[in-house]
Amino acid sequence: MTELRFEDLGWSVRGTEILRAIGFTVPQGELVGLLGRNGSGKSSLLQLAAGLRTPSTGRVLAGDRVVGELGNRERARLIAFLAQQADTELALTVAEVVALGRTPHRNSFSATESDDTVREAMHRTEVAQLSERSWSTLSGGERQRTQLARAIAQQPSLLLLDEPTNHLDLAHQIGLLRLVRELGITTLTALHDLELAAAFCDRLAVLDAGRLVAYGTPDEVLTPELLAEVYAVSARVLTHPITGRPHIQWNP
Amino acid sequence: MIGRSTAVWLTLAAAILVLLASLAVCVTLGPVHVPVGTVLEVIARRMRLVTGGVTVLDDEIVWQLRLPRVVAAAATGAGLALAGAVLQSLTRNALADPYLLGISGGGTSGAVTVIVFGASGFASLGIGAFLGAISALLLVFLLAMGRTGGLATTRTVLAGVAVGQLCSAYTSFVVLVRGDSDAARRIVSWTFGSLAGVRWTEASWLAVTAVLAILVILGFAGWLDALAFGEDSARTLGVPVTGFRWGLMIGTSLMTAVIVAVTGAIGFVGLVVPHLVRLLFGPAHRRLLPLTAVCGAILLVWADTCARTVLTDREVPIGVVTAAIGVPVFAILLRRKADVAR
Repeated sequence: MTELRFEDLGWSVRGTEILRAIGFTVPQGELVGLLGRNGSGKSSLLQLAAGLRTPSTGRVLAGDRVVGELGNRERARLIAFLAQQADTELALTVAEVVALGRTPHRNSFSATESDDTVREAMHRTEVAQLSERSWSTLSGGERQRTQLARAIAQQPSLLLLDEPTNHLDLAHQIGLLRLVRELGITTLTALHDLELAAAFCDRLAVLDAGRLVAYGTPDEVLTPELLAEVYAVSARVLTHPITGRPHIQWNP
Repeated sequence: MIGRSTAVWLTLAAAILVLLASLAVCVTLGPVHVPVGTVLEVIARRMRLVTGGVTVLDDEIVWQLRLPRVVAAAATGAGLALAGAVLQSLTRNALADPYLLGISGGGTSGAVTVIVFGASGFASLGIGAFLGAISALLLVFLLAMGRTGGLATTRTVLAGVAVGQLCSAYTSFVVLVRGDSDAARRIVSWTFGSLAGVRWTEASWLAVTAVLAILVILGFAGWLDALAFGEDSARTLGVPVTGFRWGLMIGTSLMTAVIVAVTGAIGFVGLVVPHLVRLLFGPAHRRLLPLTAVCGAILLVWADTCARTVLTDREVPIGVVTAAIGVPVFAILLRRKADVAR
């Protein structure tokens, strides 16, 4: 287990500033939601955290290691990343996709579909019964759970998720976030649904036009003022009678 | 019930047996029929396991003519099919084949230059083709290389197509201006590929190349699998994508250049065999690569045997045979899979 820290992180592409001076910490073992409108820089921030892009300023720390200075294999053993809408035209089976998570842990000659880690990961995300099914025959929810199983099989210390609940029905959205929380892995996840974010995340980070405009517990972050400022919507924020977490009522 | 993985390994073992049997049978076929027993005797005598017992003619036909040729055919088939499988995965393009990167066009240009302007020996033709293929390849990489040193997929494919067109324009021009009808005929036969005249020197070159390629590429099966969900996904799984892509592109291209230099441009094997194996046994590379190599070898051993036996007075270009065998088989499989999937 390890914490994820952004220090004065900035990223520009050909003179266009995508992210600017981002600084916050995802504490060890916590689930932190990354909020913001389309194009606010959520995906970019996750890609920088995954080591897929090189920051223009500042740095990302995984524990006490700078992500950009890690070797490929070392980084892959530390950080798992679930991109938005991962897809392939190849007829890989669920078991084979999940086994991809073992790539950084093995040499190429060893067989992996029978790996215990793979089997356990499939059980946790309830795709074990699909293990011989071909990727192209899976529903959106089954694909997302398969990808999550792949990430779990990677046995990472940090988990980065880019809108993992997209295209899932409500039951699967809740099931997936509940599972992620139960994993206890330090997780940063981009989310669109504020209610889900409020219900499941320990903390929330809000991006607006590439800047961090709020960071804290759902209570602290989800205020009518912030919703008006970032999302340009008017809303009341109540307290959920059972969970005690914020509950949002939109004013249409 | 047998697990899918076990079934595939049994298939691989069976395929290897079929390949060995095909080699043995195909050596017996030809204008002069040589029984399998005699073939084995010739080989045993050459290995110094037995002495005497075979005629000089049988020894000549089996050891000097047919054996190097079937070995060369097997190695060529394995190499081209393997290159096709690797390039299809690497570019995530179903139409990728070993000649994608302008290699065949470059090879043809080199061979044509030699045929029209220079010496006519087998060796010089091969060297010309190899140099042509490598030049075309360098041009493609030069065009495709990004500012950051990466080799983007679409740009690489487009560059390959462009260079291929340039080479074929050059070839047509040279043939039109300088060639006589004899040169034109040789060039046409070269562009369809042929193993005629292959002896042990060429066969051993091809065999060593193919075996090396199989061993090296099997070591990277896991990384090729990891590319299934795209480059970024592979990177987060620990694959150094840029270097990996360069290494494989250069490796498969060099292998193809060697093959093209000896056999000319044999189409279809590299495109269709990997698809066929993928349809039947799934896309996981640990199984796909060895099966593809063996199936490619079997296909080309039989195709070459047809090429040299169908007509009595001349050889049919092997590319004609591979297309004639491969297209119907492929079409049937595609239809059947489509029925299963929907």
